[in-house]
Amino acid sequence: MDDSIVLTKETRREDVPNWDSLIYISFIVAVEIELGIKFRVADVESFANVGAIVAQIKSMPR
Amino acid sequence: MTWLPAASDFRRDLRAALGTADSTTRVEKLASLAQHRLGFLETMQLDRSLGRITSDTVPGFSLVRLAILASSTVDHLVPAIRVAGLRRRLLIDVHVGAYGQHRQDLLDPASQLYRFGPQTVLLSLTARDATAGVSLTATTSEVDQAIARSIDELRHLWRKAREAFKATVIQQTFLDATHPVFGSYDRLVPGTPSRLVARLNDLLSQAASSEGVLLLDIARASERDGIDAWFDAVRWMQAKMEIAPQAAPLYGDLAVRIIAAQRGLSKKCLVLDLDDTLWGGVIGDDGLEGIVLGEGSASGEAHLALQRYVLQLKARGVILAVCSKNDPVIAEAVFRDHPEMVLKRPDIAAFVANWDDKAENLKAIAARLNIGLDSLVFVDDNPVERARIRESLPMVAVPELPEDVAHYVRCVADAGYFEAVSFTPDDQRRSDQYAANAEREALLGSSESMDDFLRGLRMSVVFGPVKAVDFARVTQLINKTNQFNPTTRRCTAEELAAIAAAPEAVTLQFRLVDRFGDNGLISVLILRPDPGRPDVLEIETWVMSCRVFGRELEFEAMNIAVEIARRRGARALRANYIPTKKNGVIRDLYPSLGFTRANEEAPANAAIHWSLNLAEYVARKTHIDRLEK
Repeated sequence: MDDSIVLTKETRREDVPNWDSLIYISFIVAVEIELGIKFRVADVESFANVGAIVAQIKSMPR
Repeated sequence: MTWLPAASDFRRDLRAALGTADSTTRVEKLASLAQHRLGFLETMQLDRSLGRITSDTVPGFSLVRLAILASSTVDHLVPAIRVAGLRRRLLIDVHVGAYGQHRQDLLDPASQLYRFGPQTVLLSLTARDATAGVSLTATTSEVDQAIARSIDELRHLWRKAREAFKATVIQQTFLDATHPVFGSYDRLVPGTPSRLVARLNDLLSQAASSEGVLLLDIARASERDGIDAWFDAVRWMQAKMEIAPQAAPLYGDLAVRIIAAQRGLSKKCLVLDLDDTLWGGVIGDDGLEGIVLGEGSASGEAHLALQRYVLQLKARGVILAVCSKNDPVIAEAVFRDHPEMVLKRPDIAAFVANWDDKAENLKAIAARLNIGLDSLVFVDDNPVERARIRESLPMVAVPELPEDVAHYVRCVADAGYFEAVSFTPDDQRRSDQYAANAEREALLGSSESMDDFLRGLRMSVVFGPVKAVDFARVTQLINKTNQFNPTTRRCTAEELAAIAAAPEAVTLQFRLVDRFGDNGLISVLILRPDPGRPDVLEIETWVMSCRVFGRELEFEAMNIAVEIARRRGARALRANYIPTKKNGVIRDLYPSLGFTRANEEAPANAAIHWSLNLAEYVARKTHIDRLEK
């Protein structure tokens, strides 16, 4: 829980200190649990930045 | 993990813990937060707040070094393991071996694993590796041969882990994430993927049983929850995670239950409420004819199912107690007179029915059974009583029972309070032994004096060296005993076998028999010569079950130990007393046996060294006869 990190649409993996693959998966799982959605296997490897995740979520049926 | 209560405000409580400057208080706050129902993300956050464990010990918590060697990604399981540890007051330092490198790690003394020096090694392997190369057309015997090869390799790794680290080995059962090839017909073809995993788990159980390896049975857990709760194809393809992140909190709890059980931290006693728990309705209002219990009513069957399950727990050695707001005469009459009662009055080792506060009653039950409050599980349908106990006695486990009594059994079973790492003949007799203790108490009440009582018991001690047949019980006793345990030194069955085989060591096991029955194997004493001074024997381990406190057995055991030591030509005995939260009851054990203090005033909580000159020892007269085996 680090409230000092502010995400924008342009935030990329390398912008967040101590980012690693476990944190990435935790982040994806957090979004999935929070929004009740499930990303496709093709989605999870191609997100370039936060904006891409948001765009993907907007395109998904809720 | 529905048996745990929901956290009222997780983020607020976590912030409050993080804002605590004192590290001991912070760990205490985090530990109490860990007692709540937490999802994957909350578990991660709690673990991050706990931070890296250093060798600095936190008072009241024990350190555990656990290595996980895996053929899939397991990093996401580590926070859940550490949080499950925190829940049991264990601070777990986890070493994760390199992905798929479990063989190299175990076989290479230069590996990081060897530097880490684990106390417990958990092998988490996928069925894919173990069944690779077996074709769909394989016959039963070809399947068995291929699987036997995989199992033999595992046996080799288990032995290696034990030789290298004297570690406890836990092997994870194989998760069945396969898909049907034929359909229902899969079960009739030995080479189908699902049959291979089933056979693998069969032969694994046999091998683990013969090697004394413990199993972490996620195969069973995934059958219970459904494979979708445990395996997520996207996570497997994305990161080779065989266990889905959502299953991590439960995985951690299942794993740490075993580690805790091995350290004697499993619960010992189930304390039951009566009205609307063991039966439906209120006996004081509804009367014997009015309460709901037994066949013919759906609710009656649900209460009956709980009673039947409780009786099964008793059969495996769980002590039963009753704590109820009731008139004692009316409450006891149900056990005697209601035809549908499965539980009978003699099944209950401590029966407390009155109108007092239940927290006080739980204290009385623990005191009467001579066990710690942290050995109790309190089952009560009333949320107010549950909250009251959680608040005033946080060390008592209180399952958050579901609304519907139909699911009570499942809740108590899922919580895994009574996780075991062995099942011995002593377990099977335990509840009867506690029942006999009630008769002993009655004798004590009617005796004129303590001397009169001890004589009336007509006690004999049956003693002899620890033999292979005793290893399971002796290991269990050493690892479970916290009160009469001057050093709190633990040991694995492997280590015990090595000590028993060493000619210079003296091992003694004691059983106490009296007119009310056999108390079972209740004490173990291990003496080893000081490497520098062969004429000095050190009491390396001495444990005694709290069931036989106050019977003079410690005096007779020391008489016996001294005779044996003298026969070996020893001149002195040495002993250590290392104070813990739990062993204060034997603070004065060694001076009472004639030992003198060997070190000057040590700081509080430091080890106190004692020594006994055998030439000066005067055998103490007791009321216990001897039967040497």
